[in-house]
Amino acid sequence: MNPAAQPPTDTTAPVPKPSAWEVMFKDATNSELKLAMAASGTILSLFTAGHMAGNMQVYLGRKYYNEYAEFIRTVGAPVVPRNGVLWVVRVGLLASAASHSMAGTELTLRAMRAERHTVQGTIRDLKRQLTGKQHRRPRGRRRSVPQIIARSMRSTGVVLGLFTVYHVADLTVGARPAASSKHRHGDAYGNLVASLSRPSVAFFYTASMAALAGHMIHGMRTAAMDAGFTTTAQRAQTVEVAAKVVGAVVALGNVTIPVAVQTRVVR
Amino acid sequence: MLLTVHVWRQATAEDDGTFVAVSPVEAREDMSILDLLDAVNETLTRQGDDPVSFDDGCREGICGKCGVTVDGVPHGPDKNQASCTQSLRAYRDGDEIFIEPMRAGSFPVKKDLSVDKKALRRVAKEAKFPVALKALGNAGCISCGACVAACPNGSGQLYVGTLLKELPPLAKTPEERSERSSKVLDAAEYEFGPCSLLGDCVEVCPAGLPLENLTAVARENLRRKDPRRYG
Repeated sequence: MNPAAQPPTDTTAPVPKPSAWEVMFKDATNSELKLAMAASGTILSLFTAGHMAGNMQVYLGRKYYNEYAEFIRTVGAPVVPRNGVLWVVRVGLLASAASHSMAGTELTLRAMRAERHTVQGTIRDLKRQLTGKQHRRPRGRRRSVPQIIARSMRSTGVVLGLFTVYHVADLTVGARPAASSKHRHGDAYGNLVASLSRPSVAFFYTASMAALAGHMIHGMRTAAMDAGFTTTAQRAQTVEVAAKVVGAVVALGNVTIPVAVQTRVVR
Repeated sequence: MLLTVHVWRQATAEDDGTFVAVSPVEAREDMSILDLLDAVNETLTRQGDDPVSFDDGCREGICGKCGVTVDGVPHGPDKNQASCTQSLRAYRDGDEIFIEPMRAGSFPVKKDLSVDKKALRRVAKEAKFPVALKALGNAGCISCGACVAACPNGSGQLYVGTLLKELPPLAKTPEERSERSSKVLDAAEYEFGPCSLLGDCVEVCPAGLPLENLTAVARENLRRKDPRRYG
């Protein structure tokens, strides 16, 4: 960090003991943290794409879908015990999500420190925004929707985190009130239909997919940069198009499910 | 056209600054932001106030000395133009304009609209200063600091990436390249924040430096870890 960001060094004052968080990130550079985010984000994106593709089997009917759910539990048998692969994947995803959000938090803190954000300054800015006293950007330079989405990685990330907690409570654990009252372990198809038959839940799932699309598109673009891939304009363009296609396909594919349940195409 | 210009007044680096409304300011569409500030100073002098101080240089967009924030945008409303080569075509008669210093954690305000942009120089110096100047010159970078000011993370990655992209061809040996890149990376880490690929820097850069330059930071960092693989 910049010398001005450092606290004044007073040799007589007792040196505060660094927190566990500070110790953990002490030696990590920004580039390394961004690589960690790129790697964990790629794992999560790959999972999300696979998850969407697997869920498309809901259109093949109850029997097929429930067999797919059973396959996930028994894959690798008889070498691997039941649920073995499932738990390895779960632990991997949990580790990825943890490192992704922790590295993201540390990078956010570093960005705030680099910009010398203060509590008073943040309150003043918020007040200005809420009272409409913030002056607008000049004509021709107002932010476009993609720019606003790119600047919303932290908020869409939080939305996706909360969504995942709800999603697991709803369809994996089956905990009320997240899950529907008709939830029954072993009937993945029935649980999905019962849950998404609730209009508020269907709406919440659809809205969360908008956050997913935005987060994935900018995330994949950034991951390519942080991995040192986008060295030419051509490559940057390719990544841009690929990120948009993948993000849109994954989110739209997922959105079709609550829509299909609500329109009773899937029931 | 007549404009109301809210201009940032700050007596010293330690003082709190505030916007002061200056009106009326006689302006034309083809005036640059610095011309507008000259007009502001004419109005202030006529009203018996002290003129506002701002960084000023060649007024041809090549020295990189000038730079203010106009309605939240570094340099001004036109894309890829320095403050001195901007126009006022985005404004209409009776509009209000807010002009403040370039806002970045690593650029402390000296007085009014004038900022200390030495952080850029401190990073460049790590790579043997004449070589760094040559590298920046080859890329077209004028070291104006707008990329840092535009970034909400206070990241200087467009500047640093450009430097790290142009430095390797100027090194005589791979070791020299590694040493220079490594020092620049460390200094940038110390001075600036992390990059989120928001692209605001590319929009304000008077030299029109491309977004691809950002990735040079990642590449040189990977090369530092494994020089053979990322040659």
